[in-house]
Amino acid sequence: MNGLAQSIDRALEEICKDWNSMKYRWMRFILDVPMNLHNRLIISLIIIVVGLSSLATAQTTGGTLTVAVQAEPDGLNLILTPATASYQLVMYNITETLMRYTADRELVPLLATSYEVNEIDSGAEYTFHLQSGVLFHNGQPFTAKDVKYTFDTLLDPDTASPNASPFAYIKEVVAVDATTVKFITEGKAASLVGYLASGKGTGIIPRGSDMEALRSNPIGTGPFMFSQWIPGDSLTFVKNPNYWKPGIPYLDKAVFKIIPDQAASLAALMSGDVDFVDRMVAENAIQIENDPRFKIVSGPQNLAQLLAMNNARSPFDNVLVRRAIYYAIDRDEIITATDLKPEWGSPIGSHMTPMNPYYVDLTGMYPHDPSKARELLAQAGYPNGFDTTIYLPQPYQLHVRTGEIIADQLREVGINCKLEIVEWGIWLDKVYEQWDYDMTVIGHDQGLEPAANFTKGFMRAKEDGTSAYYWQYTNYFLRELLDRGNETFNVNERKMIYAMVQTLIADDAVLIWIQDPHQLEGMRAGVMGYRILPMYVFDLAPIYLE
Amino acid sequence: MLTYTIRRLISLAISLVLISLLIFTVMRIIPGDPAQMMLGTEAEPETLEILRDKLGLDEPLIVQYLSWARGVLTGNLGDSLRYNVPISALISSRLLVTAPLAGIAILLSILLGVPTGLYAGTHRNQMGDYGVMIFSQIGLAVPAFWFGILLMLIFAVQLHWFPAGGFIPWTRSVSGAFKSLILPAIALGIIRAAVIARLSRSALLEVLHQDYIRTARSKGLVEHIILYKHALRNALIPIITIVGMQFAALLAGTIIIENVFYLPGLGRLAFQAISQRDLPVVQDIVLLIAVMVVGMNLLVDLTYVLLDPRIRLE
Amino acid sequence: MWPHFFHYARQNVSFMIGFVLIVLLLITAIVTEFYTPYDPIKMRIPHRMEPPSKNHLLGTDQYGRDVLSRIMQGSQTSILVGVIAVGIGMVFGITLGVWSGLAGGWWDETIMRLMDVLYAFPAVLNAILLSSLLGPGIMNSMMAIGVYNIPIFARLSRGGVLGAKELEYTAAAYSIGRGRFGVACKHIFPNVLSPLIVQGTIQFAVAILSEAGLSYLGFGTQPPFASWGRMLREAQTFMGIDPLLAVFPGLAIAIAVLGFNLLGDGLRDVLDPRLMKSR
Repeated sequence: MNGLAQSIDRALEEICKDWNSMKYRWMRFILDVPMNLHNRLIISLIIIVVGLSSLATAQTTGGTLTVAVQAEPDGLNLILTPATASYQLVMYNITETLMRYTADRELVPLLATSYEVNEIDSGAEYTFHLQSGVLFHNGQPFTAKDVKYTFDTLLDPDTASPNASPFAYIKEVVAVDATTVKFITEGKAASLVGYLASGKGTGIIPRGSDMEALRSNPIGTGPFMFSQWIPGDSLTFVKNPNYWKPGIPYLDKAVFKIIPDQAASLAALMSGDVDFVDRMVAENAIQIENDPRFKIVSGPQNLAQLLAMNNARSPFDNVLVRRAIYYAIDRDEIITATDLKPEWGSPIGSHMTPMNPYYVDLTGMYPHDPSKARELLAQAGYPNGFDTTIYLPQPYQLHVRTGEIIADQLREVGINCKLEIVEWGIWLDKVYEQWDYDMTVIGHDQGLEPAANFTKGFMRAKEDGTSAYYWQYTNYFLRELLDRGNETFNVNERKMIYAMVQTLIADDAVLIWIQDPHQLEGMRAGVMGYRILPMYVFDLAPIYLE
Repeated sequence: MLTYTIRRLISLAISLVLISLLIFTVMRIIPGDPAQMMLGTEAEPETLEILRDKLGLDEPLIVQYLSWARGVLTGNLGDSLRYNVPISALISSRLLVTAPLAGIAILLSILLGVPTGLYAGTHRNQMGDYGVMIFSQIGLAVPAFWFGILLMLIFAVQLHWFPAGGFIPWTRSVSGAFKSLILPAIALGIIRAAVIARLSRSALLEVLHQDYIRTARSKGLVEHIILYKHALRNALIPIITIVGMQFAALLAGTIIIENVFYLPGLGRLAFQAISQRDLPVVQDIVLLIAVMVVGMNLLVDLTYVLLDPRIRLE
Repeated sequence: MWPHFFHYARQNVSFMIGFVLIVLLLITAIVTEFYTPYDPIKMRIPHRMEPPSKNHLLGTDQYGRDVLSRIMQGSQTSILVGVIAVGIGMVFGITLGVWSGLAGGWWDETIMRLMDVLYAFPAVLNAILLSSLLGPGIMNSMMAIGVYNIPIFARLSRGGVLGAKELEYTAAAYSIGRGRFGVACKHIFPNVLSPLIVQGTIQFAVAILSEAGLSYLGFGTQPPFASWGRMLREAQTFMGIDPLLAVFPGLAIAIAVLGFNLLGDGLRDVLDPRLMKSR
């Protein structure tokens, strides 16, 4: 009889797992009251019935979630646009990829079921086995031919996709049969599988789709279908009733309201106009933190904020000067002042954030030490410091504030910084395009595939071999190391290589890495199931409303 | 009268052409490439070229100017570079915010400003007058956006009576839309009311000093009647002029207030379009504002001429 | 003339209050050069957002900087902006206006058309465009505000010139053979002077308000230097956490503008030619 009671208890636990613990507690209380087994069984049955029926209304399917997002998508065809605002909404929700990253940072198959890699001479062949019985939103069945179409279009020079370059090593995509597709690559392309999970433009679209039509009417295999886009106002997605994974999604509808201003989105949350505010700023999150009607889900977002220095320009071409600046910066102070709570930022010391499995903690390499900074500056020939300018991008208040604090910290060691807050257009023009700057503060979204973090910044080169990226850092040995990292599948070997890369870069103080400011998601208390992904994607599927 | 009107209309046309040329040139000179802004940091140079070609950004400036001008004159304002929607649609949706805001603000300023100004004028150098003078001096000195922030602080953040910024669309809730506009309208309106009060007061005083008023008094007419039958009616002309001239200042004020309260109005659109280098939008809005201001001035001048027979003789 | 002026000025309430406020402002600006309770740009993050106390009379801001010291530094910005913006407006505006008035005809029409164009742009938009063109920074916003002032002084001086041209003594002066320039200097100018001075004070107030608005929008003074408008922008971000930050900079702006407005009004009353004639 004990066994039966135990199994009943376990059944109840399963039912109550996602319940508010209050509900669970009174039930346990009742069951703890000593009674004979007969009564106990009856009561448990009643509770199970009650529990199941209220479960049907509590962990609910159904309902509409209204989310305030900051930026408007630039077209919904991820092959054609590099905009993160588009990526954030479409990826994993409307279109799906062969592989995906989970909230626990695992790389798991999605539309694929498994894959193998074969090395062929200097290149490689990746064979993916695909899910069967999957339908696109327009009823078309998903097959390997659609994968081929997607990547052929992505890589076609006529498409002129801004997202094609990470996949340049794909020589050919072959649809072997309905559920098998092969990627044939130049070189080992060890980063391919990771890129397939996170790259822009990797969401599979139905073969024969018109690219322009997909801009305003995206079609994929995902848990949500596109419903409506009112420019300047909102986007609406509805549940895909034929989604191939059973049981999800829970929501019937998701409405993304475009509210760029943080004060406005906070006001909307408080008035009930939206249920959820994506990426709140710290000063707003702090206001609702202790309000029982709302809650904050926070976590690192794999964004690396950095103080970039133009390595081709004096005095930043001198490693002693760069190291001196590193010593002059106090990351903790920056985190406290910009994130408002020390827990809302993670300091970083390298080109990766702690979310990345290949991350090596190098924050200790340059502790805050102004006297050491001054010493190095004197050694480098600047005993009285020097004057310089920091460009700050106006739309990103976090970076602007960080810049102000950095200027203050650098003043301590004699470096006088003039701050220039410039519009985004001018930042892109002067800093990103023309490399005409001294220092700037900006953030880069990091990927989980290690090659993603380093390729652009260190590999892009002009014809003469010097760097073609705004960091202006040229290091041939580093490039060889990075090539090597892409050529090996052995995870341990890759770990070693990327550890070396990070240490080398930190030692050379190429850039000053500051923090991963946490993503703060504000929502009303009844929104459950949301988890932060290690990429700039809003994962709708696991969300349900209480 | 007719020749005057025609002359003024020609003037207006010339001014508008000059303004359009000015804004067109300025937008082309400002550094920042709209194509680069739209495609982001990852775009390849070839992609940028294709987009620039599609947007017509590479054509000679004269061609761009003329096609824009032609579009405006035929009612086609073109498409926004950023959103790919017709600008006329964008502007009309934004006007749904700015127009009611300006309307409520002007109403408030007239209802508050004119009576107080007239009252001060009739009770010169008494307590009431001093009170109004102080009110108007303070109103002139207080920056509208600070006043807006204070209102937000007290009535929205502390008391929660109104939303702290943002705009609830008319389609979603009429009362919500009103609530979103009340605080900004008050901020704008009260400042303007101070100006109008001052100017109404001096307009009335001007009239009261006129000879015909003295004549009326010496004739033995009751002060009351003098006021209503003669002074007020004649003071109304300059007061209307004053209110009309406040229109331009009010429009300027809405740009800042829309930023303070995060209202998606015309001012904000202009501001954002400049940052995003959405050239056609900026050009169209500036032209629109210029038309409204110059047009309003013309209207005021014409009304003035209509109402005041003396001017016509010029 | 001067003793007369001071006598009547002293009796004018508006003038006196305005004068006192302006002198206070000037003194604050000068004193800031030598002393402020704390360094207005030095951050002390552990002390951020403290309420007013005996250490910090007006509290600290979001980076721990003393609010009082920053307001004092802001007074320098305001005065600088006023001087340069009104200066530009006066120099170019008066030149254009007098030229236009004296020359008449075709020149007059063109210049006034141009002035209308400048006048039609709302100043804010003007300034935003210019700042985008020239880049951020206080010099550029001062020029933008200055440009907006030009049509105002142009109109005013042109009006004065036209009015003076009508007067009999001008005709008389011409008839005895004085050249245009001589007439301008000796007869017309003094007449135009008083409205220009009055307008100058008022435009000073407008310049301070405009600069505050521009700084609020993000143009104008760049951090870490203090500008009252910029302080208000930062205060609004932290409104939910430290509401007091929004009060003091706005108060400072209001007091400065009030001072110049009152001064201008007082000057207008005192310098009114009708009143002057009757003395």
